[in-house]
Amino acid sequence: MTDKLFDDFVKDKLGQHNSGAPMHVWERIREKEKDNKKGFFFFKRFWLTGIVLLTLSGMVYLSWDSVIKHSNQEKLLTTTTEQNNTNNSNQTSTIAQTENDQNKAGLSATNNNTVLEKQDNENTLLTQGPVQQTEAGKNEPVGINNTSHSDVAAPLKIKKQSNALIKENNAEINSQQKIQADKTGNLIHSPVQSSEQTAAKEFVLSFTNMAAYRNSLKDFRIGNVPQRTVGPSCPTVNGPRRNDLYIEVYGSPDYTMRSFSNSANLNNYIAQRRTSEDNRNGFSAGVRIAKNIGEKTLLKAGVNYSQINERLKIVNENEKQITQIITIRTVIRTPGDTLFIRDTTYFEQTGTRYRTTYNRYRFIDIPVIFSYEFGNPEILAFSVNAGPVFNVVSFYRGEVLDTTFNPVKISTAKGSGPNNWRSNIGISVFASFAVYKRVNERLQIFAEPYFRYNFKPVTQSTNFVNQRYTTTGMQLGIRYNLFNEKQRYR
Amino acid sequence: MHRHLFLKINHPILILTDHQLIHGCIKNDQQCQQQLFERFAGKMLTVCLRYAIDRMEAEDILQDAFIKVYMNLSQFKFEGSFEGWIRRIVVNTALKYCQKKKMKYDEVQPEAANVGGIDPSAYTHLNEAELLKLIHRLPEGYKMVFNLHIIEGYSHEEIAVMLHIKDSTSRSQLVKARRYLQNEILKMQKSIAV
Repeated sequence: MTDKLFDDFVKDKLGQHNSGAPMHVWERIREKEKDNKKGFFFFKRFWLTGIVLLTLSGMVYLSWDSVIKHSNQEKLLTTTTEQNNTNNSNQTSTIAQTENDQNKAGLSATNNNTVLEKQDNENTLLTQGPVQQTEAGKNEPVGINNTSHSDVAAPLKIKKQSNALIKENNAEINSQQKIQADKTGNLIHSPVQSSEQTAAKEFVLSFTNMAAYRNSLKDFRIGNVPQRTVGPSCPTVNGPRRNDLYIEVYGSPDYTMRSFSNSANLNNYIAQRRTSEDNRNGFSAGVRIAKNIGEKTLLKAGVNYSQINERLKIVNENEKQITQIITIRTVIRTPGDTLFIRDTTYFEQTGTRYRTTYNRYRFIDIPVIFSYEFGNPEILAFSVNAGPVFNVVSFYRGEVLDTTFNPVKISTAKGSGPNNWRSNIGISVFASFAVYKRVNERLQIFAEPYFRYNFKPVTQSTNFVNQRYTTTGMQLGIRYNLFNEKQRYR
Repeated sequence: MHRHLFLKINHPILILTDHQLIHGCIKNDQQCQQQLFERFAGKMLTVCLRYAIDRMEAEDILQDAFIKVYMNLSQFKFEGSFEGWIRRIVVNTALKYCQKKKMKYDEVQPEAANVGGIDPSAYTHLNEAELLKLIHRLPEGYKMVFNLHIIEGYSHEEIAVMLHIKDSTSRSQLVKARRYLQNEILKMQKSIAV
């Protein structure tokens, strides 16, 4: 009852007590607000600048890309047109030269001469056949094969093929013309329009159309279709072979599960450990190299750093502290006669002691992981990964409770106490499932939930209490293709 | 509406309601912010003084707490007492300050726990300043629990969560704190009598 009265008295007195508003604190708040506003403004401006820059660069990129595409298309069209003309002239000249050579070598018995004649319609005509010496001393064709090349837009290879066909056809036609010339005497201009010639012409045109079609395909691919939609590469006799070398950089928030096992009957001790220590989670980060060893399999190896955080809280309600107070008094009785009086008293205090220690358990490992990839690497790929993780070194900082519930520092020295931990936890097993999203030609981002099981506890084998950690986490990172060769053919 | 509010706010004599003050502060009106500070800072300083080691620390807590109040005013849903809302922010800020000190060594005289309940006549003459001084002398753990339970009205379960201790610890700390204070009051009385 008296306690209640006392409590009410204190509450009434202090509950609504006003100590007076300290206006200098208000001034401080105002100044801080101004600073914050400035900071916020700067921050905002910084972000605004960033956004503007990004937008501008995006716009420049897009416009530049479209300009390049447009110019490519124009160039393609120009080159196609030019190619038509130049190819015709080149073609005819090539043919002329070839046939001249043939004539020189005496390979052709019937075609003694080859003459190029340019007509008024600017189409190049290939004229072959026996020629007569005119009065002006010029070589004039006896048989004319009117093959128009104005609409030819074929690559050189195809044109050569068509030229070969033209030659074959011309040879036949010329032989007919020769016969005709033999019959009629001096035949100067005798165009031949046989069915064979027309068929040959159509055949050549079909080739030239194919070339045009191929060019248009090329144009279509460059201009309109994204690169990633290009179909799969053709397999060779040996099959397609990847030659990828990736570097993967990642970080992961981790969640660790702790388990205890003990050889002695120390259930109370373990219960105390569980209540006094709580998991503050951890993280891991690393870098690894991934090399494909098959079409869909990869081998990964790298360095991984992981950290487990824990908090140890100890509340000791009846803590006693003894304070020694030494008082020295100086008494000057006469000059030169000084007396020092030293009093020593001990003061014992009892109270509650709160103690919090943040423990850090760190591990450096080398993971060796086998990975099997599936899905579409151009859009979204997946992989299943598993392998051993070799611990290089483990080091710790912090405190744990000993069996008398007093905090003791963790050490890697050999011993049987709960604070004697391993400096190397040996081999662990790693398993994960990853999802890869392509960002550009070389870069991918990935998310990889994983699970790691440690075979060995962190405590030394001689300990009566074994403490083991199992870790799960979500690795988030980027993967960069160093070679960027989609396929290599053997 | 907005213009009208500004005219009202800019009038120096007009005392705004909590509702108007809050809206003014959300709109970053400095006069509203100042008026809010003037209205609540005195009471909140008492709260801070109860938790802090000295006045300087109390003012630091008050400053941080009011910055939080201004920043989070938009989250106030007008469902309860505005003063209570501010008080909660101040208490939480004070607790954070105290929790920053990782190692606490709370001292208490051995005889403190042996005092029984005292007669109300022994303490009714005490004023607020004297009471504050007495509370200041309490060991930190006792002070926290005493303030939170007796003055702020938190239950032991709530205190246990706030201070990361057990309910039983909170209860025992409260009993010890009460006895300690009563003992100090008795001591004061004796010294006055002498």
